[in-house]
Amino acid sequence: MKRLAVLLISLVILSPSLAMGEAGVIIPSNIKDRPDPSIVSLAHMHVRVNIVDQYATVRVIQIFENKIDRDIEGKYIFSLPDQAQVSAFAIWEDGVRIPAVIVERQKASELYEELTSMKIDPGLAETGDIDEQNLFTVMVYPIPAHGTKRIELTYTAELPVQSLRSQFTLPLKPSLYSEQTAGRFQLDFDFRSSQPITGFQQRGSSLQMDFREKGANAVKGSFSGQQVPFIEDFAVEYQLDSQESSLAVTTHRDKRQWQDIGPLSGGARFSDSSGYFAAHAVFNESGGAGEAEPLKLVLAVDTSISMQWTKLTACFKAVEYFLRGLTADDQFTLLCFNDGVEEFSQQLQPATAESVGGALEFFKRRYLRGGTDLAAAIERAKLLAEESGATVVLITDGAPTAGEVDNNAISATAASAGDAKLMIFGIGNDARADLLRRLASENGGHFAWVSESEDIDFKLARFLEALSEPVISRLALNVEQDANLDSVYLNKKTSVFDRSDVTWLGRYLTPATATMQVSGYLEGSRISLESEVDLPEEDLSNPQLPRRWAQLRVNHLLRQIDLSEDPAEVAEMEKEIVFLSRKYMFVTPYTSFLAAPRSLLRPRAMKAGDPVLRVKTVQGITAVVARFPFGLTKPLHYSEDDDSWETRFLAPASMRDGRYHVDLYLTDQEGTVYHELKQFTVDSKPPTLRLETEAEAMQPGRTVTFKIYADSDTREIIVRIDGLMPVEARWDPEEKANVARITLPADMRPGTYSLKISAVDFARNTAVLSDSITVEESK
Amino acid sequence: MTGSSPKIWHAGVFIGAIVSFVALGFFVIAVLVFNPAEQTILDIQENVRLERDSTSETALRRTINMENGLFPGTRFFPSAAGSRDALLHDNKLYIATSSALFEYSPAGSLLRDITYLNGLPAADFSDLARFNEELYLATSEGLALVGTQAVTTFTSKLHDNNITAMAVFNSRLVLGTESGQLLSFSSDGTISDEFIRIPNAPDSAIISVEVWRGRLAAATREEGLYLLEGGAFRVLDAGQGLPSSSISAVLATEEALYVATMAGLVRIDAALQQRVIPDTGMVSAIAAGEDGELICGTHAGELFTTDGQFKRTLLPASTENPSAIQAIVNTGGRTLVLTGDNWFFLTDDELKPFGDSREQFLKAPHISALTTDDKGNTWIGYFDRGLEVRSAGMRRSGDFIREELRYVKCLRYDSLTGAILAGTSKGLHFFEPGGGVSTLSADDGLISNEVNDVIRVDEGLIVAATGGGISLIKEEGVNSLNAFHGLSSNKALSLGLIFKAEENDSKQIAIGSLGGLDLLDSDLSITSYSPDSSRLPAHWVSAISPVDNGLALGTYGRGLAFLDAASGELVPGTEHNQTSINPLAMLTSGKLLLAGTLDSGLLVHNPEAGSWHQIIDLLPSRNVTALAAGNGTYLIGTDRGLVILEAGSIHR
Repeated sequence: MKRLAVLLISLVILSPSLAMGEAGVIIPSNIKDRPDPSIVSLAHMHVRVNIVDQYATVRVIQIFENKIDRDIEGKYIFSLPDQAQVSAFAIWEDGVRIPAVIVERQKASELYEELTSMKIDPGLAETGDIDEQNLFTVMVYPIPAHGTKRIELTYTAELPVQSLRSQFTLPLKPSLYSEQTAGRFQLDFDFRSSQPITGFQQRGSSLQMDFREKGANAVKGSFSGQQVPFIEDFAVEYQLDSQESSLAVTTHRDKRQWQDIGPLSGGARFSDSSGYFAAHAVFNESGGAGEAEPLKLVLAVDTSISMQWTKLTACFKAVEYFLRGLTADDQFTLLCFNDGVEEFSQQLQPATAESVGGALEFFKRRYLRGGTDLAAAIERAKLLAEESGATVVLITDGAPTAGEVDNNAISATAASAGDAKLMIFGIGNDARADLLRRLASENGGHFAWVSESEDIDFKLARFLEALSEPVISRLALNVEQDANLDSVYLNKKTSVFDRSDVTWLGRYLTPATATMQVSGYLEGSRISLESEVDLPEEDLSNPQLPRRWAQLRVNHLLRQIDLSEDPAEVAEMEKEIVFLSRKYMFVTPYTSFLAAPRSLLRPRAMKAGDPVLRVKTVQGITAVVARFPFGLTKPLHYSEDDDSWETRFLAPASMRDGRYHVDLYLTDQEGTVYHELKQFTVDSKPPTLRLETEAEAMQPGRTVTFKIYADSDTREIIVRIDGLMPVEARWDPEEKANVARITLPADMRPGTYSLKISAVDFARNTAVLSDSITVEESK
Repeated sequence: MTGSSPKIWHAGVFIGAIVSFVALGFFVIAVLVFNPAEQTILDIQENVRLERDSTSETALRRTINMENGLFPGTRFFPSAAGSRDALLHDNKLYIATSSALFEYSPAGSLLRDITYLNGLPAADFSDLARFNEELYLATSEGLALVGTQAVTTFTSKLHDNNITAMAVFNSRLVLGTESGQLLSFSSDGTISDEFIRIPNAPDSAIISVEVWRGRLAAATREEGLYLLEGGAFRVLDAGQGLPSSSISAVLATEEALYVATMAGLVRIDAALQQRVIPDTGMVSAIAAGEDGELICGTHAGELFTTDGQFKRTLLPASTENPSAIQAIVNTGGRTLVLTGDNWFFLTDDELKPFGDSREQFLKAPHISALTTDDKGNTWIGYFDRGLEVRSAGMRRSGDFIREELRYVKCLRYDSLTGAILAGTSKGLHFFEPGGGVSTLSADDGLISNEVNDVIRVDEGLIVAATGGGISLIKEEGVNSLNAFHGLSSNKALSLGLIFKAEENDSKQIAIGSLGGLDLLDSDLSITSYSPDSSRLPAHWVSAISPVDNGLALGTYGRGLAFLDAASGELVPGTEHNQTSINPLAMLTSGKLLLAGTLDSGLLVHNPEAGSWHQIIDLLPSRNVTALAAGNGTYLIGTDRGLVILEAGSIHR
């Protein structure tokens, strides 16, 4: 044998986790398993960012160029930021713009069956959907030999305010694939805010924007360049300059007709007589003054199996950030939970360097275990917090699998465990944001989320600041002429803190003037903000308002459907959801994105690992046979568990490392045979590693730079120093090396510490480089 | 080799040496040929006669008397899966599989199986032909003439000996080879490419040779059909009208030549007009049926007939357990269908099983794991066909076949509970002595479903090495560790235990992985060995086995290494250090360490004596994939079946 078990093969595979953080890349999936600019390059990219009152609309145009002399089948991947929604998508083919449309899910399925029976693949559902990890993927076929493919994508996102600070990030930096370079890159940035802002700054330095306007209420800038490498995200941050709480209202009313261009709609035309308004309140009752009270925290950290890989690294980083951000006046304890709960200490400890170090070591030595008893962890943490007046900080991906797993039951358990505030930091693209958001909201807390691959510092900082912000309770929007308003919704599902913002979105039936009043209570004191509002006959200046409102309306209807036991009522609500989804172009549980209608849907999902060939096909395929380059022809068997076809194969010992292809032959129910080529790579060699260390002196408190040179197929490099948290080395284009910078703790004792650098390549070959560092006493 | 005479043992070693030398090439063979001072007969032993071709001096002929058998005390269990061809000869039906030739009476009684133990090459078999009233078998190590008393194997030092197809043409036996050559074998035993040579030979194996209307048709695996007519070859491929250049089978009838490509079956008439027959994709085997119909089998396992227009399915393909139709053969007026699993006669559209004694054949040839239990049962894990249990006499134990477990990675007998622990691609399975079966998977907390090895550490702890790290299985639950906790790699391959002499109950768990070796203490501290930090010769530690003073480590590509438990010193083995040790293919037996290799047979090492011994001749394949011991025998799994050796034969 066992050539199989020992030759590791990375097949043409794209598991979603491999693609996080990618902003508009095309994988030439019939040739390679990752982007390769020598095959498909990004010739041109134009991004227009438009931010109006904390609502961002991002339009992306990308032109990809096929550099080889054969057609390419590509997979386009765009990683959407948190809470972002795709609002438009189009592919150009032969000079024709083919826009994506929203289709009712059931009808999409019927349409799909119909098209596939005609041997035309519509490429919908799985290829045009947004998955749980907020990845938008679509198959693109063909990209003609030496031709180009133009793709347009627009998405929208709300930008939350915390501690009066906010940020916008355009994800450009790849998390896994090597960097992408745009032949030409143009970025136009247009920011408007009714609330004045201050401290506007761009983070990072690789895209030096030319800001031609930088005012209190508007910022405009642009960047243009050639051969621009995407080595970091474009990100800006700023502070709302609100000396006191304020309320601003914007409106929109457009009575013109619109046409439903969905493939099953018949081009029906509609009009909307409603007007829309957004009431945006920014709170700053404390004025940022006053000395913060010492913090008391119970950190509950998820150490279940689902937290393995990069999520665990991000989790450690978060815990370390929180603990090292505490002062000796603060108190804390740490719980690690999976199917059980383990406590660092049953009493809160002063956050001394020693106790923080002990807690981190305690965390590091916890096993990963199967099962997540989220309810038990919250219950235990809240009870501990209740005794000491502490706040619970829960760090998890929120996937309960043990104990209570029902959302309502977990919610009830949390509610019954006392009144301690529950702050939740969700980690991972697959985090159960819906559940975690709800738990935070119901327990007076705040929810923040990061993907496992993004730079989490900003969100950690805001989250930590929010720990000491007081909650505003009993928030309400009151309007004198209430009958003129319809379906008013709050855009936040979690608690609202001082120095943050909140928006109500609603409809008005007839033009009028009105007085809107926002009220609430902060630490027992009543807050009241008022604004005289003109609800106009026509206002086309805020076209984003109807769509924002529609999204909140759909969320509301989905909750009502959960509660309703009346089938007729449910049917009516479902109908409205489908209508709103199609009108405003966003995916719901009842609709699918039908994109790139001419793409071919053929087997494409193969998983990495040992040489087990896995192929996912459309329904109706009755047989799959693989023909390997070394002469083996083998039928694949269907695995119902995985809904895929698979076979284990034996690569001969004479097969050298390199890329090969396997021919796949698929037969459908009518006996028609389809032929597909898939690539795989035989890689039996671990990455080679070379280390350079840069440090003036290895002393406590100093930052040490480790430069690691590794093979190009290396996907992950982790640097471990005995007793410190592992740090991932990232590619630094200036250094032309993978760089990890580690700050030695101020309390690190002089001595020799083992240094271990592990590198894993795409075939999961692992190399380990062992060394040591000697830490001297501080001078 | 207990029970064999020293003389026979000598013969065995001699033949082994010849086989090895053939593999090594021209120079070594030339030495053998010329040494016997210009004599045609090179050597004669009790069972073996070795000759050279006296005219060209390029061919080697080895004749072995099969009646006496070559290695008494060695038993070989081939598989009936991987059927290749069938032929009626001398009123007996011969069925060739990938590693055995079965001789049946027409009624279906097994008369004998002929394997490498009877003189056939230890090779892959591919085709049968009758030439000059004799039976010939094409093998990957030459052409074998199978007589009633002896097997003669013909090889040539000038040409490819991996023969993949045969046909009789112009009083010669035409041979197609894996490298795309056409050769001719004449009745005087010479092999030549002069009689028939393709000017621009394909760079693809010839999978079938047929004679059709005076033409010779050679079908290649990837480069279409080569048709010899009027002294010249013409090529029919995808550029010349075939739906695909990938050919799976060819059938010549009086009216037409049928070429099965992956994209459809093509009928070629006398004027070389081509027509694709509808609904015939992925055909792997064809035979002529009644009334001009064709009987076709597919790679996916469907059997159907077609009249050229309409298709009629006789046996649908299975989606769960597809097994290709490997050959359809007309034998004495009956149609024999060979699938990967079964042999059938097709009568009146019904399939009737053919052949007795099938229970003695293994489910599949490729064995990936072996173990024995305290009842004397042998548990056989297959590369991709699940597992089965054989009783002490190697009889199939009832219907205990668990094909759904698919990819078996390891089988371990748990002496504490009497259970068999089976690691597969679907988790860890516990086969209790009472018959109960339970499974632990990722749903139950296992860090990955890919379980590569498992070991019992003590009464309360079992450790599984998985593709995602290691899982520590206790009654109260499963804890897991991976690279984040300091393991060299998440991909753990093998496990072992080190007993600390100074502490009675203290053990370290040794974890072999893609990144090296880790030793895990009970306090979770980890000591790592990698090629960069130690004398570990390779990153991949594929097998671990206890030896007197520590552990033997099998690496992939760099032979063995030894870890001294007391000092922690790791040293590479002194010999065979370019060898790949197959995953978990190591066994400690008494003072001997046995290691199965990827392409070097079985290594036997006696650390005390410092001796190394390589066993190849006793095996059907150089690829030794699994090892076990029981009842005074060694069980040796290969990719061509199971061998049972009496322990004495190795100890000597």
